[in-house]
Amino acid sequence: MIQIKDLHFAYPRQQALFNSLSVHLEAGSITGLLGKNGAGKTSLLKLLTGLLHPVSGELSVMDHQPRKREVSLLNDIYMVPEEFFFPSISIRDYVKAYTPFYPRFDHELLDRILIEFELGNERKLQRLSHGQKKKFLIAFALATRCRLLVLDEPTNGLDIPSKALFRKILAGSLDEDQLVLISTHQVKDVENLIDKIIILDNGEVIFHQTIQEISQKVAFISGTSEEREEAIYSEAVPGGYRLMIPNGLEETEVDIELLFNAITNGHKIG
Amino acid sequence: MVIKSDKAMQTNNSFSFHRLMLLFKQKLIINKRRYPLAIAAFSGGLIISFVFAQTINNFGNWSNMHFVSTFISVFVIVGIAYSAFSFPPFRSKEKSMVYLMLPATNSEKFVFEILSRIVAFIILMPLLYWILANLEGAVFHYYFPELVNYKFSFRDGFLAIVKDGKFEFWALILTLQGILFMFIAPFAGAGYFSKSPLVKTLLTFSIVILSYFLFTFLLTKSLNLQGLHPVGNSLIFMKDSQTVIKLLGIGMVIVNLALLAIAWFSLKEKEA
Amino acid sequence: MEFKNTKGIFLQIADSISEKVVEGKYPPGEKIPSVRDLAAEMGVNPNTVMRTYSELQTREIIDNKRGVGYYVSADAVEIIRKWKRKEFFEIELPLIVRQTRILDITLDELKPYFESPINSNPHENQ
Repeated sequence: MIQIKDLHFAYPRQQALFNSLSVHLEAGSITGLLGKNGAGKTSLLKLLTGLLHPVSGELSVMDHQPRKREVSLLNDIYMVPEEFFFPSISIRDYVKAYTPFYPRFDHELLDRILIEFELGNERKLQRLSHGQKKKFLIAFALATRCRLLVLDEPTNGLDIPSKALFRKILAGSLDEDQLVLISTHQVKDVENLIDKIIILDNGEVIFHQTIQEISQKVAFISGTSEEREEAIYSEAVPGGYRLMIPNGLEETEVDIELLFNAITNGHKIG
Repeated sequence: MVIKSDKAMQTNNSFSFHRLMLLFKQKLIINKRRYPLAIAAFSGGLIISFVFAQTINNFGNWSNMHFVSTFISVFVIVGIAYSAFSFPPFRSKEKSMVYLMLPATNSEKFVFEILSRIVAFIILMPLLYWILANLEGAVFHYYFPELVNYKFSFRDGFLAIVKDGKFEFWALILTLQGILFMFIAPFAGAGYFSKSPLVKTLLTFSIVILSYFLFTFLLTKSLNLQGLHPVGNSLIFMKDSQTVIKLLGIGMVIVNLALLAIAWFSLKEKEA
Repeated sequence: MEFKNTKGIFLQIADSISEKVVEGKYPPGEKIPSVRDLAAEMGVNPNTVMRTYSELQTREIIDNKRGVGYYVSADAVEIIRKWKRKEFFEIELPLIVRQTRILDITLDELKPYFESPINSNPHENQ
């Protein structure tokens, strides 16, 4: 679905953000895009959605060049940005104004999600809180049934129950021909939701594996200092250490934070 | 207005009339409160100015010519301001993102902006003015029957201004292009500049015009062409006024087309 | 000393389904939730649930009736018992044994816990 090869990108009058970035993504996944501040996560998402233009290299999304902004691509991509703007109209009017552009729009699904998020159709978008606006945008994004959904920090601003609700709604509203790309720092919010992790660092994709591959290769355990010896990577926590060890017996839950720190500190898991 | 999604919507990547209509529908839904308010405010302001102007004249001598000259000033000022608000999403990053990702082609978005900003204004504003002027006139005539000249007609008014009532072809072209330029320049500026486009557009054109005069001045000085005074005599080194008008007319067509091209590429290459 | 580690999420889901089968909440022959429904209910990636289901299918705990859904197999309870017993002896018991050795706990001390009815704590009775 997404093919990037030797992508070069720089903002005007700035050092290159991506020098030779390559990544290949297929549909049927909820992929987490992780990276430190300034690693270029949002820029990458904007390149994919045609909001930024690459300097050179290959960038294709569903066989389109995003920078051309062709309708057949635009009506199959929806992005929930971190910061957004709504006109001062009701949810009902917004839906009337924007849905005709999306040929596969699922009004039933939208209504169902809006009920779960407790957002009435008559509510004025401008009067909603930031979190409520975000929930509306997420609902709208899912209801477009676009094959590529790009979510930039989707759980930022959501209250505690909404985060769980977000996971449930997302997990239950996708088809196999869709790809969801979630950029986030809040890894706890998307734990168990994502099935693939991409780590962006120093302008390159330095890690790209499925949760299954990760959990088959390494295990994440708590232990004492003696076990630190065999660990690939360890971090002190109250009462001992969190360890990433080569997997022996049984698969453990993937500790994304620990994995991220291990990878960005130069460790490899094979 | 019910517009069903059709099959063409999924495949047509060049221009779909249907999607153009969807853009209008979207604009009307989003601004369904703002438009009536703006028109009401504009009409109210205009009627008050009519009454005010007529009071100064003691409700006499208010002729078609007055209406037309008021019209021209309102048309120019409001027109420039309205065109300068073209591409409204470009004023903020968040709005630009929504606008650029909206599934319509660049050409549809571009045509929509021209239609909704320039064409709609050129057609609707005179129409509204005509209705308001006649309405105000009729109401006044009802209460002050001694007023005779209450009816307003563009034709009569313009004929009163243009004394001989005849335009040469190139003069007509030049006038039309001049009017279009008035709209296209702020339109292109609004597409090209993100923040305070009108100010920047005016600044840009002042610089261009000043540089032109400076250039011709230095040219005549350096070439020692003492007999020619480009500013006073004629802008371009021509003595025949017909040729000047023709050249200016052609020049304006080119300038307008170039400005439209700038607006088009600004939209096409816009990043957010 | 090693703390109890959290199993991979796909195994946790397998455990919870197996538990429901053993407890009789999903009796043999009963249809279990679809992949999408279970994913939505738990807020877990559908591919993870899919992995759980194929694991349970390999163990013949559930059957996939094409186009209809997943059903608890006739011998499910038996298979789960065998599987869980094996897991207990291989993984959980060694940990317990190790812990009792470290803490010097004798078999006699443990006995009352096995003799008292389920859900009651002999500690409280002492």
